[in-house]
Amino acid sequence: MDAHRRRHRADGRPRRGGLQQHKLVSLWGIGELRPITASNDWLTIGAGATFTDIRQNAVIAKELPLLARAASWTGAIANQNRGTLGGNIVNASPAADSPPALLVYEAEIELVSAQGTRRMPYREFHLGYIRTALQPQELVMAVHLPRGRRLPVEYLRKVGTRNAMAISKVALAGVGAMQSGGVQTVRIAAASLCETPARLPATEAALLGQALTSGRIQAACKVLLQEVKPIDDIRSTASYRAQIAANLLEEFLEQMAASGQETRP
Amino acid sequence: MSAAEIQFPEIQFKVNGAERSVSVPPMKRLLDVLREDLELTGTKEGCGEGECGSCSVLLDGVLVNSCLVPVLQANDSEVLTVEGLAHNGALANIQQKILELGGAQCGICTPGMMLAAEFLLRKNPQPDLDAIREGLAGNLCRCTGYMRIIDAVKHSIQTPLSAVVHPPEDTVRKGA
Amino acid sequence: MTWSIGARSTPAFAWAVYVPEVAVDTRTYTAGVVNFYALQEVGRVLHPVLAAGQIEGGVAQGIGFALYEKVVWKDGHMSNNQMANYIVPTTVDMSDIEVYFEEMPCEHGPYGAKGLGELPHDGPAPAILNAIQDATGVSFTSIPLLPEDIHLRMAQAQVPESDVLETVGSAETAE
Repeated sequence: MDAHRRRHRADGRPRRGGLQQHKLVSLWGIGELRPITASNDWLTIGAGATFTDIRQNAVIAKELPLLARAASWTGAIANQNRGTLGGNIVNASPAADSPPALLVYEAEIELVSAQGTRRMPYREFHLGYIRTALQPQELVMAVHLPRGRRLPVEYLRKVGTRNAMAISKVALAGVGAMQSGGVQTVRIAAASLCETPARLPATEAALLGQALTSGRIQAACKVLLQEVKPIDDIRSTASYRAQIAANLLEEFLEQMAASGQETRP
Repeated sequence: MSAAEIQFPEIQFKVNGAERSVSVPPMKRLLDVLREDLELTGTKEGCGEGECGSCSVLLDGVLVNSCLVPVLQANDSEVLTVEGLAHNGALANIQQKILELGGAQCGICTPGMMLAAEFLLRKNPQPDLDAIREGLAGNLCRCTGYMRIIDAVKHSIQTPLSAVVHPPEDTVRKGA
Repeated sequence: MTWSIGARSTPAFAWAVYVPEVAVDTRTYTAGVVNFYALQEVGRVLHPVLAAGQIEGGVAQGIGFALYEKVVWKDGHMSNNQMANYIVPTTVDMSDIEVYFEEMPCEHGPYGAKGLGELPHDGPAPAILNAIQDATGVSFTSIPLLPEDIHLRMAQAQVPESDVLETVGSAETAE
């Protein structure tokens, strides 16, 4: 692929739209990166697909609505028309809007280099603050989302500095299912609460198999607050973020509990 | 290579229907090429970081912030700026409504607002109020409180702009 | 009423009433303006479109002042000096603004007109804080009032949580 003939920054990430005095190759012209395609088992989003492409895709709208919603919250229309999923992921901000949805949908990420391709769970891609598993000479090729695994409860909420064009202070994504009055499946992910976009396995473990009484919900919130590391920064405070994280988790779990009521025989 | 010997690549594109050609550093912002090299100063810089929308243009019919587009990515493309909205001296509907309803005070956000409105109405000819607000959410205004801009978009819904094909003759110039 | 300038800084006083409707989401502690009504007594309206436009724009800045536009200082420098982190309201943050005029012409103003553009910066922020107090029962006395500030005070006051509280507050401003 032509994409390999390029210079990198010191951390090995390719540039896109930057204004530095290096030799650069625009990825915008690489057609293979842009399409969104569906097979029976996977929805594949090219790294060059824009957030507008994601919003306009009928399969995503129907089967992966949290991702469509996150795309609609990314910047505003003009930003969505140019910003790409691959660029957003590799930029690796812990505040990015799409990663929580990708994490709860159990996305896989495909990386390509002159040596070939490799694929890993997206949850293993973020290694630390602004550090990813992308090697020098590697490019993100696509993000793959499994089809046919939809859960009855889907939740995504972002709290920002305003209602549009906002970097998130806290965002929480959750999917799950109840059975016989208890939590059968639950996956929770957050933005702006850790140094990377993050799944919250301890919180999930505290919920599995449990009935969602108010006491159990409060206990899960306590586990959440142990698991996340919110900070003070230019946008918000650690104490506010912690409170909102707990409140959003509570809101998600209330929806889970309600869905459990509906399915009870 | 000395500074005098540097040859910048030629970028060729259509701007407001006219073929233009500029020889500039490929990473020069489209915003700066429009304003400086093509002397189309209707497109404004408000922030330079894709946040305020003052620099909005249509690139191949798609609304973009021209402060974030390196001009090389506009090669072989069609660009519509605010100067291209009027046709043969007749204001486009959105321009007419902004004028009538007082949608412009200082005017800095106005070109971007009109391009955003044009893009919205091309995709969604009958937007409701929420869709109008969302369509303009990337364009910041400090003077108007948005009321009259939103009204102007609402009132231009019935008769949307048709695309400019032939530019007025006196704007056709070649870049250096 | 007789008018005399004397030693005052201004030949005439103008008047306004600002009435915001505010909603406070007590899950996220975010306050937003849902509707805004502005009445200004301006002596004489010389250009109805621009006069109303000035008030609408000033109210928008007042709303920004009240709820969004915090300046973050660090070592004497403004840290949030970019449009990405100095937060002004967008179209989806702003409500409708209804503007009404009263005219009591002032003999010292052109055609009876008085000042118009400053008042919208004075009244809206206090009115919004009054509305938030009406909604939450907690009094706030500084602006910008961010969700972080509302959370701190409400947590201290231990206000019981419900999803959204809506109310109306008002302020009269004279200059």
